Amino acid sequence: MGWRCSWMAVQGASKEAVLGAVGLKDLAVETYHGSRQYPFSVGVLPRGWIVVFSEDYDWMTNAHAALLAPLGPVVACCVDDKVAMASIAWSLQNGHEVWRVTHDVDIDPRPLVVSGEPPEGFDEIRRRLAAEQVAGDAENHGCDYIFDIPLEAARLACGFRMDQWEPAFSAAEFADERAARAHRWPGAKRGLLSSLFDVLLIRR
Amino acid sequence: MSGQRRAQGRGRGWLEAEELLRRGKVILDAAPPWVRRAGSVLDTAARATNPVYAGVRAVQTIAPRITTPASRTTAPPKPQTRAAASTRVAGGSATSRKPAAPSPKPRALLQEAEAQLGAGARGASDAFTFGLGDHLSAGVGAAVDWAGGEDPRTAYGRRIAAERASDQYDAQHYGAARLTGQIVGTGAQLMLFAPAAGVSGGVRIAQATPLIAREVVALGGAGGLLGVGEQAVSDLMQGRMGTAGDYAGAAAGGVTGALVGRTGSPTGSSAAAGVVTSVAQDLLNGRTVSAERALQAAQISGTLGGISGRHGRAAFDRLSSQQKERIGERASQVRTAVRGDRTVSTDKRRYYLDGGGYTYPDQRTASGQLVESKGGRRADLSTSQRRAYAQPGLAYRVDHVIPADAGVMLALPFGLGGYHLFNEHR
Repeated sequence: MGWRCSWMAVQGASKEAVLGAVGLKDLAVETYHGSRQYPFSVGVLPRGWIVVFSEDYDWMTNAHAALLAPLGPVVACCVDDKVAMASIAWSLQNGHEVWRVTHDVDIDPRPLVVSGEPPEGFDEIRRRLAAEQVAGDAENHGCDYIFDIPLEAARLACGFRMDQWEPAFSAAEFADERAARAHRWPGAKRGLLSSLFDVLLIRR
Repeated sequence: MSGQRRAQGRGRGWLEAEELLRRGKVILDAAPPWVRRAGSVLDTAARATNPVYAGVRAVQTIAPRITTPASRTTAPPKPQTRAAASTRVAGGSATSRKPAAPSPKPRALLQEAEAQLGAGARGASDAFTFGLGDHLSAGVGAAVDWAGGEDPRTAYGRRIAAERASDQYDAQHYGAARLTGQIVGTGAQLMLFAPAAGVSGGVRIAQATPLIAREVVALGGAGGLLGVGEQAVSDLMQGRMGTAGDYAGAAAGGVTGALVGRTGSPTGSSAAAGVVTSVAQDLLNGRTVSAERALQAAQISGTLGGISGRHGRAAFDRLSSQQKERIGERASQVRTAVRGDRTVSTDKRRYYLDGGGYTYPDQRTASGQLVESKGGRRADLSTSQRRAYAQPGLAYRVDHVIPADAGVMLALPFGLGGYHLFNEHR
């Protein structure tokens, strides 16, 4: 599958407060983030970080990050390695953006835009991955190593990198039923044609 | 002698064309002034829209200025009175009441060049306009005749017959020049639309798993079915039943188009399909293979395929990322089935990699293959996907759907459909 998702982490607030701020409720069902069994999942990280994970790349926006800003420092991330090879990470403190690292191949094949003051250790990671990219391109790896740089920046800030975190999360969904029905996310139930395809092509 | 006979033949052809124009002029002369003015405008427009007239008239204007006075008796005829025209149509000398003087070499060569140029230009014009240039000229001329009181259908029939007679004459006497012109006209038209089809089709990731023989056969088979289907639809629309040779030829064209479509060129795949359909149908029906029809087929199919392919690529490009993702996953499921395997799961379950970390494959197949589906203009592997791809012993397949695939899928049906629509010889 790869990833087409978004998440944000807040430090110093309770899980209920974080979910409440973005209109979600905990279903208390174990799930793995990225499995697309539920539209959202929530996890507790060391050092008081709470992560809200969305299976929808487009869910995490500046507006949503701003909703959590009053609760504490926020780290947010959007990841797409299926279509666009885009990874964006940024951090808010006291409602203001501290840093942002953007990688989006729609701009150019190996871009990286950095603003603000990324976490300590970012420069070393950037140099290492840039060197890996050069070596990988020479050997025709077909791999985008620069894509990992925003993810690493987010990991440095809050300790979470979605493609390396192993423990399970807890499923969540919109508290408002209407919002839940209206939310179009990748794992949502699809139409008749899609179901027909499933019947024809997938044989368990 | 042969030179003189050729000159006479050319002269007759010119005479017929000029006779038509003269008759129109005579009719116009008797019409009210406003009709004469309208007719004059239409006539001028008819000549202006036909580049053949412009080119040939230019040669006619230049040529006499560099020939000797004696050889002017063999120049193409100018509009004559009805009596004089009748005498010539009856079989007299096509050019002059005086006996033709022996043509000096430079003049004969120039006339020959003029005739070849004319044939080539008419061929190019016919090819570039799908043969509609003749219809356009005939239509405008018929409108002039109609303005002068003649029945438009009769006038159109006469004019189109004259155009086709001229084309046939060219094909018989200046076949090489005409064919060359048609090739040039076909190439010009395809090149005109080739940039349109060149809207970026994307670059498939190098790690994408190549097609196996079974998939290539399936691809050809799908193309063949498409060709047969297009033939059937064409027969239905025309109320006739095609021969076995027609259907076999259509299948051959479809197979060719599908296989050439692997290049990602909607114009090329459609043109190839059209040419092979035309040639195969000629062969299988016991007809002489017509290069002209094959060129026409390439032109029509390639042009329509190029336009459709462009729209197909653009349409794919405009899809949301979510839609592209879904198309990529569905395409992978189809591919798994074509490969003789079976998709057993599309659930997103982690696959733990050697050395730590994991990846979420899009599919797992019955044979144990993990499939990563990608869609879009370009793609790369993430580091975990790269590790999975490189892990020894792990059957990891990468599929990548690009806009060019959508372009070819749209181009072939429209390209072949266009060929059948314009398949005049049937």
